[in-house]
Amino acid sequence: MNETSLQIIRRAQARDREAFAALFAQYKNLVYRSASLMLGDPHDAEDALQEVFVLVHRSLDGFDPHKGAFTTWLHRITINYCLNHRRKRSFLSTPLDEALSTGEFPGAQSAEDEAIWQAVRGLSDKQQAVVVLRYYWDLSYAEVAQILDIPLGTVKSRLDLALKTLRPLLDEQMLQPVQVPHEL
Amino acid sequence: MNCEQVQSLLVSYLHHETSPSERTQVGTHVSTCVACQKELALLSAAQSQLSAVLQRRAAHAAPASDAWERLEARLAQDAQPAPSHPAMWISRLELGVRHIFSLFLGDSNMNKRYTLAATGLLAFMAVALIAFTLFNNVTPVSAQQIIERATAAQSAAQMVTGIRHYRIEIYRDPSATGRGTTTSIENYEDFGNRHFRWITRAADGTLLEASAVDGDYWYASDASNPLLIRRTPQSEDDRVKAGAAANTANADEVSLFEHFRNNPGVELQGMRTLPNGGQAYVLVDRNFQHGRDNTMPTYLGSVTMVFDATTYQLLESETTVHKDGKDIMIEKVTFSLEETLPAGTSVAWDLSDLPGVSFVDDVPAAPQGEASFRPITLEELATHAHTYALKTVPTSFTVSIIESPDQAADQPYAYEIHYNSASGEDFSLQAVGIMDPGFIESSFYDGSYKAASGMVLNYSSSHPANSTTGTSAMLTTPDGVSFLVFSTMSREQVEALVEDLVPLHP
Repeated sequence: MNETSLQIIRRAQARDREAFAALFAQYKNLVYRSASLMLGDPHDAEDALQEVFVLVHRSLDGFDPHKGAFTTWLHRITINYCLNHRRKRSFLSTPLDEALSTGEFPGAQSAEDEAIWQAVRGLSDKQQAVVVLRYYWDLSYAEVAQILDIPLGTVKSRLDLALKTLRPLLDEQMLQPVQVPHEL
Repeated sequence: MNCEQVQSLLVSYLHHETSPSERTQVGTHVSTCVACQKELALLSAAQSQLSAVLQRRAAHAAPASDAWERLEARLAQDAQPAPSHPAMWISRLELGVRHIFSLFLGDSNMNKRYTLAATGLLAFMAVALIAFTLFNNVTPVSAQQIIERATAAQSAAQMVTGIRHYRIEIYRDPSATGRGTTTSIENYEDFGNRHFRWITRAADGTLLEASAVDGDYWYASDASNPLLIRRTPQSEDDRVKAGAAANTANADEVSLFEHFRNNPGVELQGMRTLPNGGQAYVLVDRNFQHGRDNTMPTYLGSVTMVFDATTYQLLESETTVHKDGKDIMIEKVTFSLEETLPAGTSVAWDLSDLPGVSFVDDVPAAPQGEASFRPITLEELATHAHTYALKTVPTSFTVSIIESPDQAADQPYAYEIHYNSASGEDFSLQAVGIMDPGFIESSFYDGSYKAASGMVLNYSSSHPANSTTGTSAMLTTPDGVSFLVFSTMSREQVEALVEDLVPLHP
């Protein structure tokens, strides 16, 4: 962590409003993007952003930079929130709720992207968490293990299993002819 | 290593997450095995595609412009005086129970330990409630009083030492089909020395998942084969992390507290007669879904908790969903055993008592008796056709070359050449022979670089251009021989090195 970030965190720990605002500005995308990939719904991602930073605000005193990076701590809180939210949602929602859930992020997605995205969403909670941390955030196995508080071997086996689950679909996509736009 | 063993390591291999000996073995095998070459390339391409989809997906995700203003308002509200104690207690109890449910509804390892804490907390609460009730001879008459006593018991729980041992049966039917499955969990945990052991079994006793920490190792069953236990040495950092887990668990509690703070309170639904003739209190927490408009909240279901009226032990809980006008049970948790064993009680923290399991070390020692990879000199390498090396070894780098023990008759000479620096940087080439036409283009399509010598680098998007974790690519020489390139360096640095590659054989 660079000195500036550490200073901001220390000021925020001392209840400096401007420092916390700076912290929010610096890390809001980390939280929001993980939440969007884990929860798949912009409303839920917005809620996650709020709830996670409320939690950060309350727990910031407990963060010790000597024990790990701030981003690791923040990733952990974010993923933890998302997993809890998914579980709560999974047992409180009915198939009708799922059908009525139309929240989508803006931006056109190709049919191929959408198919892969749906397959990712179909992964188990724990598989999706390692997939997001590894394939979106490009984190090492050690970092993923630290965030999820699991052994390295579990990170490996979850990634293996996730990729085996997604592999048939990804292979199928790779066999599709590449669409080359015509130049007029 | 045979193909099956190699293919089980390919994902880690692509991520540079194998041990050096595994890496050497996999690389050498792949260099001579067409099937594994294809599998490696397909996996690489599949990962690239997956990564690209996630990147494109998240590229459109941006927080609302008023996110900070809303958060600031929320924090200001948060700074107001805390709710009254009864409300806090209700939420706290919900917190503990829900926390347990969160484990049973999912099986993330991440939450196991936290939930262990919550489950243990409830166990302690129950124990403490016995003492409290005996001392005070008070019979609670409302949910609130039960909860008040439970909350008071938390303080006493903090002083209890020993090994927590509990067994729980869980019936789950998340889709409310009426055909759920039952699993059982048996846990031991010792917060004194931070050992734990967590076992999940199917109704017929089949092992589904096991994990443990014994101070020296982490143990975790393989995701696809629970009878295979992966053992990883517990580093000093792991121990520090275990010590810090309490802080995170606390943060998790706060998060859950937030979730349930605004829920309707727990109500005392009534009494129930237990099979042994005893009485139990039944508490219910009804769940409603609020919309963003002003319509009436929708009833979604309930969580019911049953406490022994004499001991206040939590006996069971049920979760229902309201579907087609009916409450359908999707989960039932039965606490069949809760006890605190004296500190020092013998527990097989290393899972060695589990029948039928085998253990594998996550970082295995160098295999004995297998075909070995013979180190060779640069001069020796130069006697083979289609071999390449850097004209000049970079300053502070060392070079090592190994020959594969399996040389295919119809493929170029199989070897690896590694350049390593003392600071951990590396640049490696692994000869993988002649690829099928179109294979490289369809698998390594994240940019390409052509050197003055005519060599072409085709990049894998598993390590994109801006990646901080290095570069992976397929290098193809003008004579059609390909090499997998792995490096901790940036693409620009790799390109500079490729410019310096020269053929060794005249």
